[in-house]
Amino acid sequence: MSDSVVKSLLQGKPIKHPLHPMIVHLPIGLFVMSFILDVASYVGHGSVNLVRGSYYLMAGGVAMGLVASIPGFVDWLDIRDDHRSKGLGAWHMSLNLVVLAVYGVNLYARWWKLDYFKCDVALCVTSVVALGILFVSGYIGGMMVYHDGIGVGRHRRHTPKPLRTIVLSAADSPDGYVTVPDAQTIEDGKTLRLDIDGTVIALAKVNGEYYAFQDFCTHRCGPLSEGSFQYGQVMCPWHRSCFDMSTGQVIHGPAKVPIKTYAVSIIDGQVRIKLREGAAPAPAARSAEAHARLSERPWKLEQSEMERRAAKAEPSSSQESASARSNNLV
Amino acid sequence: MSETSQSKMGHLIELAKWALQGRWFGHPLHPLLTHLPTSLWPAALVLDCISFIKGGDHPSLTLTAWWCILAGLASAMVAVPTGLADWSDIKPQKPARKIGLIHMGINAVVFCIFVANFVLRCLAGPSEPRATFVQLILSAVGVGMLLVSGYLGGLMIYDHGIRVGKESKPYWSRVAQLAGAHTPPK
Repeated sequence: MSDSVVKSLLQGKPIKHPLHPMIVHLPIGLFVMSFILDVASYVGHGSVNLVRGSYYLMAGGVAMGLVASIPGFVDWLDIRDDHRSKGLGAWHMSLNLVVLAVYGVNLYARWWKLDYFKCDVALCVTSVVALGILFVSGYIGGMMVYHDGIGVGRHRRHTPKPLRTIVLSAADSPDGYVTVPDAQTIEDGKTLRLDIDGTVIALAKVNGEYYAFQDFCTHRCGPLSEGSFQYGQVMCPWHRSCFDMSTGQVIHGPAKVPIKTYAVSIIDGQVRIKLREGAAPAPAARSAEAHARLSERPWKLEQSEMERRAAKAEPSSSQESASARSNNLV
Repeated sequence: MSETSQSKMGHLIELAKWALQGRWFGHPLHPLLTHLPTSLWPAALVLDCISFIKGGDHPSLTLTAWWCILAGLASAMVAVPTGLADWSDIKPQKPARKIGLIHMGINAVVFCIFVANFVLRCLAGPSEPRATFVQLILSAVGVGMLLVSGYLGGLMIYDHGIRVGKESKPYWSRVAQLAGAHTPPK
């Protein structure tokens, strides 16, 4: 199932750009400018025009801040529960609500002073305090983008991202295989993020086959469990590094180090991951072929989408093929 | 140029990049500074529209638009070197390099349009009773182009990941290492 249309619109997926960071230019810039006009009104005799201008800009800032809060909240809901940005986002949101509340009061108080020639000092100080909070919260918002990549490359993913990490243990499995509960029912193109005794693994189902590999990209540690899939490869959402999901080899940079992969087998309809050993490397020919196919159109995904649909239309025994693959590898 | 002075130049360039890219700040400076022109010029357009439609004598609208354009020009000039510093680190074969060039070109045109707009307003006096048609059109064209170039700038971040994960690489490498993953080379 793909995400709902409203949600993907609010996330800005059709235009490849999240809406929240686009709209927040307005409240930030308008609040700053409103303060500049307040200061300008203290120069010389002041001007009723400056006092009013400051009021207009502040009103625009509050209105656009309210508008920005909607896509911002939707973006926040889509962050994985145990991600540090979930907490950062909660701070960002709380501080912004405080800022909007302070500006709301500030705006109300200014309504009665629109004929002044100089801005009321108490109201100007209130603006300074609110701007200080806004600076902190804006910085946190920037951290979420530039440090944690929230919203980056999200539009290339057509299925929902994992919203929590499933914690499992290999302690009770003497053969080294860990059963992943309910993994056999996930839809094609979806991923589960697993934490097996501290080892974080992305389990993906692509064209009916299961692949398990490390969650962190080897370029800048982008989340591969939130990536997209083509030709049996996973593409990192951040900088489009492509890895072969069976062998872990880098098909396309900027990453240079292969990812760890784990053998998956389906026993009695249950998906099981072998934690201890990595999968054996595939023949070099296959990798080269995949590389050649990918280099033709390195930035396009539409073709893979068509292939996925074609594969879905053909009824194939996916369980058999997955077990056959793991038998070859183990 | 001798070898030592060349390496000195290299150090200076590295230092300038470090400062302009905002690595000391933990947040790129360019997208932070561009909040101002990107919000103030559209605000000037809205004020012009209101002033034009309402007619009559509303110097508070035109004066505010004048200030918005002035502050937008000042902050845009500050944003130029930070943008160049970020752009210089994109590898030449990457598509983001070209997007950055177009972004830069459009922004240069937008800047010139708002300089012309500002000069017209100064000639008419900052507190003129209402915005003229020429001023309104200049603002509208400038903002239209600004939206395109701002979108391209956003694409560089959200589609191509420019500056994403640069400062946080040590943090996430440590997390990945603890999670039993292969980590990026140092």
